[in-house]
Amino acid sequence: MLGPMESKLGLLVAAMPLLPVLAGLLCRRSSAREAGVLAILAAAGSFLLALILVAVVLVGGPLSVPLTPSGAEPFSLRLDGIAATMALLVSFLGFTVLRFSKPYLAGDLRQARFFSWMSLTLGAVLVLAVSGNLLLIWISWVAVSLSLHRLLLHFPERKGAVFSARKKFVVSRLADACLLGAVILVHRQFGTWELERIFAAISAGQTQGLSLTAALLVGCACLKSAQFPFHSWLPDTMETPTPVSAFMHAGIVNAGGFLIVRLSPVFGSAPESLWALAVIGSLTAAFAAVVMLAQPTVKRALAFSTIAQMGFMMLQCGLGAFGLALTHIVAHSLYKAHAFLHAGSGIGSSPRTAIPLKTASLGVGAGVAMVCSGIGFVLLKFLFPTLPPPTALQALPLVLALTYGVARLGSGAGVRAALTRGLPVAAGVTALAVLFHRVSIGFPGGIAHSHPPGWISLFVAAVFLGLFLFQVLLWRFRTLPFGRWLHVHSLNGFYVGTYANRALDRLWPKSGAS
Amino acid sequence: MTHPMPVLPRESVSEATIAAALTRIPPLWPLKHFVAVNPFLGLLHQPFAEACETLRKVTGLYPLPSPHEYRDFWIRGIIPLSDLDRVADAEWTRERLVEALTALDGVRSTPVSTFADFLDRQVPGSHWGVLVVEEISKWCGVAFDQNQAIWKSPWMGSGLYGDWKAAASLDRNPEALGLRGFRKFVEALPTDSLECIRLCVERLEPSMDLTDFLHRELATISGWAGHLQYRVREAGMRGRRDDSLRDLLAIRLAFDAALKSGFGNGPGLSEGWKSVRSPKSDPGSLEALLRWQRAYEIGYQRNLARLLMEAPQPKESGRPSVQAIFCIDVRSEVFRRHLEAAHRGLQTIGFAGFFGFPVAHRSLTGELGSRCPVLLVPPVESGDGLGEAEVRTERAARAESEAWRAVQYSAASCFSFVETVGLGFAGTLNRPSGGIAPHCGAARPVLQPGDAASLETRAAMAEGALRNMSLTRNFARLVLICGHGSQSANNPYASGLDCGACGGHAGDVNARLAADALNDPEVRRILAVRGIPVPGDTCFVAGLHNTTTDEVHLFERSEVPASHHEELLQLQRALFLAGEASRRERAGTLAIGVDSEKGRWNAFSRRAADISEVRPEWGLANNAAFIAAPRHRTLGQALSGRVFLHDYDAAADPESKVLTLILCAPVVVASWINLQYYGSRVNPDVLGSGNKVLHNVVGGIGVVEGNGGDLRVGLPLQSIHDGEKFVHEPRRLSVYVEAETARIDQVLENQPSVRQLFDHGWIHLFSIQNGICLRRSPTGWDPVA
Repeated sequence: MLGPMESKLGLLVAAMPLLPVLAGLLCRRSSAREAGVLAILAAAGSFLLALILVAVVLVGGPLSVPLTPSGAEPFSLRLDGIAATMALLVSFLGFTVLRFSKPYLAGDLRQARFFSWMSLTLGAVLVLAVSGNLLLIWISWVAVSLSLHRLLLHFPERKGAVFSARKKFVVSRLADACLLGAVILVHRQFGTWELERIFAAISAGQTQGLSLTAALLVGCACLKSAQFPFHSWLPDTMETPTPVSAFMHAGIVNAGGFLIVRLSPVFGSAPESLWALAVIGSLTAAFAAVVMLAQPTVKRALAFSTIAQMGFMMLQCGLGAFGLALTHIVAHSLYKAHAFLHAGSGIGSSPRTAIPLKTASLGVGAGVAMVCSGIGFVLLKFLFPTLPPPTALQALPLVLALTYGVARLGSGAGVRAALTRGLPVAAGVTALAVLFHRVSIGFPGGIAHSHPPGWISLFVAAVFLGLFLFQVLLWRFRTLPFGRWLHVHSLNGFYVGTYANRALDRLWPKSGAS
Repeated sequence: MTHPMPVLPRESVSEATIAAALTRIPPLWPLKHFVAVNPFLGLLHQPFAEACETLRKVTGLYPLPSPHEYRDFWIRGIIPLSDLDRVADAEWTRERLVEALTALDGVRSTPVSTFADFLDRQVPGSHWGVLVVEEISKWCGVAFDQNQAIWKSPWMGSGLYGDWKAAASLDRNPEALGLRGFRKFVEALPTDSLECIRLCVERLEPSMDLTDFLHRELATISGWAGHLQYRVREAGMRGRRDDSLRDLLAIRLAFDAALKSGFGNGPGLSEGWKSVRSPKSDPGSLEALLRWQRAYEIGYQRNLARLLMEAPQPKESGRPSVQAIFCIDVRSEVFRRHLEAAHRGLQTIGFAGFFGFPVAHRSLTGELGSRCPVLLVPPVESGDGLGEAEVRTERAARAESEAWRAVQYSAASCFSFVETVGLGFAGTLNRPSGGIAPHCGAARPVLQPGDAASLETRAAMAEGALRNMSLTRNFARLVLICGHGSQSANNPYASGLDCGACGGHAGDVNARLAADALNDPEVRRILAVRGIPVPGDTCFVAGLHNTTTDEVHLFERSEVPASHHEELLQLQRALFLAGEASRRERAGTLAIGVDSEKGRWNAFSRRAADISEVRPEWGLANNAAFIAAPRHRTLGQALSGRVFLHDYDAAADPESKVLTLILCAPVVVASWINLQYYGSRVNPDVLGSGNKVLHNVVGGIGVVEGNGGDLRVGLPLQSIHDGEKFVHEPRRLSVYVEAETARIDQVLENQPSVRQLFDHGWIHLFSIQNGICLRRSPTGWDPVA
């Protein structure tokens, strides 16, 4: 039984997602003005509660909130580091996006409807974040997708909107089915839906027969988080108002990664699924990062950027770096919300020319990267001697990124600038990376479960080295026949979307223009 | 009227026909300097009625308000019965006119068909019309991208058509969409776009009027066609040749021909295509609608004429203490009125906001932007007068931000960037874009050394400016030259709110250059010789009117001599009061319901910096008239910010030189603006750019709506609609000139292209003389009742 203090806290945990849900229900009957105010206030309330709850978790540790009386089928909310982080992130994004939407959608005929579904979606994501129960996870998982579906149809008269919403609908139902399958399997094995009990059973050694469950979860996550080749619904969802895109890219599409992190103990005995995730994730990251470069419209480029980042997130999960995956979710969400909400800026920026990367700058870049990451490594060892340092594989993307960044600066502004201006920035970035490494290890499950076989590590390393070489050499091979060939296919996203559309046309006739 | 075309003789599509179709496409300026453009620019040689017919043929819609809207105007009393009577006659009685609206409601005609249109009508589930536009737009987006894609187009150098042909021979997407053998088809096309057009027309054998058919092909992709027409026009004005619009036609036809060879042999399709004709014209219903449009316009014209006739005789006042020269922009009208009310000794003057200093200004980043009406090629170049050290600092800062952006968007570094720096965006997410109004801190512009900066050139420009604004005597001690610019955040259409006379830029550079030249004693010496004695105690000062917040920033204030501080302080006080009064007047239309001055100021400055604001200000919405007259004609009259005001004193212009200039330049620019609003208002789907909340910027030059498709033209919905109703009333511009009819006629006689605007009914012309107002009609000048 919970003490009075804890039951009060439990009330807070439950109120946090309920506020937007209530607002969402009330919005339907309100005027546009009232609906906007209501939705923003509710999201602000959720955010404040989330702040309090984060403090609670930091001080008092994880909290479980039973929703059903003792004796009945247990059904609880769970507030731990993962849940609190997601709740804080999502409520902040919800508040930001709703606040943005009020002036942005001023005059729109369906504002009240918009604020209603937006609040309901936000509420559903928050329920998902604090679910302590697999059945509740599944219900909120489906609810998020269904309410988002209504937002994707904000302009139901637009044929493109209807088509892309259907495409997303099909993919989401597949994901739902995978998740349902996993939930049922878990229940059959453990006799409960409660995460706490399941995790306890797993840590007690009951780990047999989780392979299929893990595989279904990975499939579900890949469908939800737009992994290759199931990504093509994401770039097609621009037929909805910008704030919906912002919230979807920042607060929803990462649900696949969240699911893996949330259920990470399941993968302890099924590492093959994680390895598959590492391969899919790195392939997706490479594919989408290349496709992104060729897109001439701002929102489509952002969509492929999201796909790439989701791939990177999955890769981190696949390597067992669940804590890093969670920090990546947070950082990417904030970045991508900002990018979408500012998608109308940048008209005045000057034409860009392809600056050749100079070899000397590249050398300077490599040197700076080595020095920075070396110091960072030593620092980690020195400050936190008990913690496992990052593996070479984990450090590789950062080293390559620093090399590239400093080389770019050197090629544009000269080697001197690369040293005087590039070095401090590179050092700062390294310091941040060190900090996040430390923080991510503090998350439950933050330490690697997966010990990928050597060939997977090699594969991942090859992918990132390949991306680096591609970017560095791009200006050289751009106009060669191979470069042209690659550009055409990248521009088209290697035709995955086109074939997916035609398949949908057959599966769901009349869904195109008719 | 149909155009039955018998079997086409070979080589039948002449270059003249192609050229006729190409010229019908209006240009579309890039968003960086989004200048209002007359969407009917390619049809001005046709009378308005004929152009309506042409547009219905190629878009399916008349460029007129819908019958439903006219009925609404009538029922709500916006068109009184008396006005309806004025456009009725024995044949078209007012009863018949009212009935015609009922009969016409909801009638939408099928335009001339491309083969894709035809296929989509015949084959269930086919949507090739959309797909072809998407394919072509994809290529145009790549080819003309300015600053979006990191991976620059590898196709450069063979022209749009040649590059497309090479790329399309690799692109599998049309085949993935179901158009088999497309790459082979493209490879076999001629290398020259003209040959390709001929070949495709031969294969298509359209049985419609060829010009209309080709026009329709381009109209399906009118946004990119407009952008290419812009490039063609810019090249032409600078003596270069650009074939990209013709190339686009060839590409569009190639898709149509490929569709025909791929699907055209289906059952009934081959015969069906041969029997597709141009839609029949419907002169009766068009006539009715045009009469309603006239009835809608004459009420406003009559009221304005009455107002102008009521103007009191000018009082011979002595020397004003301050003169303030503003742009003719309709937004200046509001501010000028309040400024005059706030300062009795102040006189305002209206003149095109580049103030006679047409320059191409080179920004720090090295780009050149034309800061003059788009009818001109700027003869003079200017730059920011910065020292070498400052330039170097700027360059270094730019290189750094470039590198930072590269890190953000490169395949090699984007992951680590997000992971380490992403968290920082939490702090900026809920912050407005920034507080300082643009341009106010800009470095002082200077003319590039050389011929352009010579004394003679500057004196000539100064003289032209003063003469054309009828300011040749009675100079005040302090003269403000006030350009204007808008402030908004996260707004792709921001430049559309700037000064049209400065080519879609703010007017600060021109105003400062003009003030500098006019303060130069050497320039004044030459001016005096040429009959414009500027008194030695006259001081010019440049300013910038922020049209979002109605603040005016004064430049180089410290250079105003102490002897003029009295006037300067009086001016600053008046500017402040005028700002308050203007905001008060504008607050209603922007739904700002605050009562205190401070609260209103906060609301307006929030709008200017808010990234989520889709209606920072109303721009030139609801513009309706152009008045070229001395200011006393309109002094003190509340014209609701709907009127372009150009000062003109016929007595000082015996040779009608100034009148000619006004009719040929500012009036034409105003007609472009007016017809852009008109088109976006009456036909938002085709001539407007759609909903801002769906806008997706392409290549930094334009927007598409949603996922993709064609570039959108015209103005966004939010620029003309407040959510409940349209704020722009679709009336063609009424031009009032205070000059004798004979003089106006004489000027028009020598300017056929301007005359055409009036003759063909694109805009209306009125003369004010001897206390009466006359309207120019095809038969002569009629008194306005």
